[in-house]
Amino acid sequence: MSGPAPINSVGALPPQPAGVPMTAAAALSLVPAPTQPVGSIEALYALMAENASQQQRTGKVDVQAKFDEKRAAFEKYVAQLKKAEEERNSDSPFKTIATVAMVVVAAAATVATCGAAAPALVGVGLALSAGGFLVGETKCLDPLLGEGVSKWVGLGMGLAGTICTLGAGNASELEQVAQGAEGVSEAAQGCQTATDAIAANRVDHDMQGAKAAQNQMHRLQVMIDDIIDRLGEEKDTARRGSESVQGIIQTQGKTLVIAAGGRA
Amino acid sequence: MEPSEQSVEALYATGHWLLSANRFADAAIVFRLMAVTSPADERGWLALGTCHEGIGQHKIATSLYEIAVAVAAPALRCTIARARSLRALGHDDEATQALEEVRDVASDRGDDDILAMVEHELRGFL
Repeated sequence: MSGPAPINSVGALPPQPAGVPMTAAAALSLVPAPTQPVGSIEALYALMAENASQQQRTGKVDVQAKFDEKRAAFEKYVAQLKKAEEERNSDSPFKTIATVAMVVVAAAATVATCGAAAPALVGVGLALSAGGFLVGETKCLDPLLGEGVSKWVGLGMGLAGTICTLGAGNASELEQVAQGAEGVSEAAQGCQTATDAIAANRVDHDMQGAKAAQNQMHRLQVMIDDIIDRLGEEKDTARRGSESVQGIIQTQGKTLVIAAGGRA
Repeated sequence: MEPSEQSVEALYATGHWLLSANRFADAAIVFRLMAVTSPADERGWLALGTCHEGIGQHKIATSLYEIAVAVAAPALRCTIARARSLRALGHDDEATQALEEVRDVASDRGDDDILAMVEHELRGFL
């Protein structure tokens, strides 16, 4: 006889028994009877239920990780804004303004990319947004291109920055930048509020997915109960029991199709 | 992953149904899963070992019952089953010793069901 097979493998038992087989009656003499007579389909549903449950737990962990990652980034941005406010009356007001602009756009980019903004792309966006802001605010191009041009160039560069930051630097964020010129502390507050609101939206969206998995698990659990109940009532009629299981299988199949369509 | 009690019961009932139909290989798949996901449940190991006994693999069954005693102690039924497998392998002395140990424990507990199983197995030695 060959050595023992791995106990956690899922393969079938070796087809060539080496010893003396037992009779079924002898084999079952020590094995306690189950609490309810059921069919093999329960194993499938039980596994699916466990799988759904596991997915839901994993989803919650992922959502929390995303939220924590964003929260850490936002705290960093707010700290930078506070520092900029402290330096507002320093010798470099443009530096303060640029810092506010870049931080606000970086925060928006963080939200848009779930905390993992592509560095190169966002870098370009930051430069354009901040540059656009500076051009518009300081009117540095007016002497070269005519009065009022700087305003429009600055706006255009800001829009380019918006595009490069994956659309995160929308009008709302640009408004926050404008507020930064009037009061850095207001910008900091606006940045915090805006990013929190957007982050909350995304977390809510993720939680909806987790909730859907939870609901699916609940449905599967109900089906298991249903199978056990039906087979318990119809245990003396194998055919009827089989029909019940088949009906549930069909229902479950439709449910899975609907669920898959809903997720797509 | 800790399966729910209902899921474990569903697995066990499923495997038992297959086992009672002499579908040892199919039942072993179910009980193997049960043993892995609920190792503290003696029934999974007992039934899985019984599947191997059912196709004459008493040595594998003996190993499984020994594992059960370690992870699902005291696993008295598994000890009885182990004695049964040892006897099938020709290790009568070891089998008798195992049964007598179970009988002592069952006597202390007043577990008549286990005592009856032990007596039944011991009669096989006569």
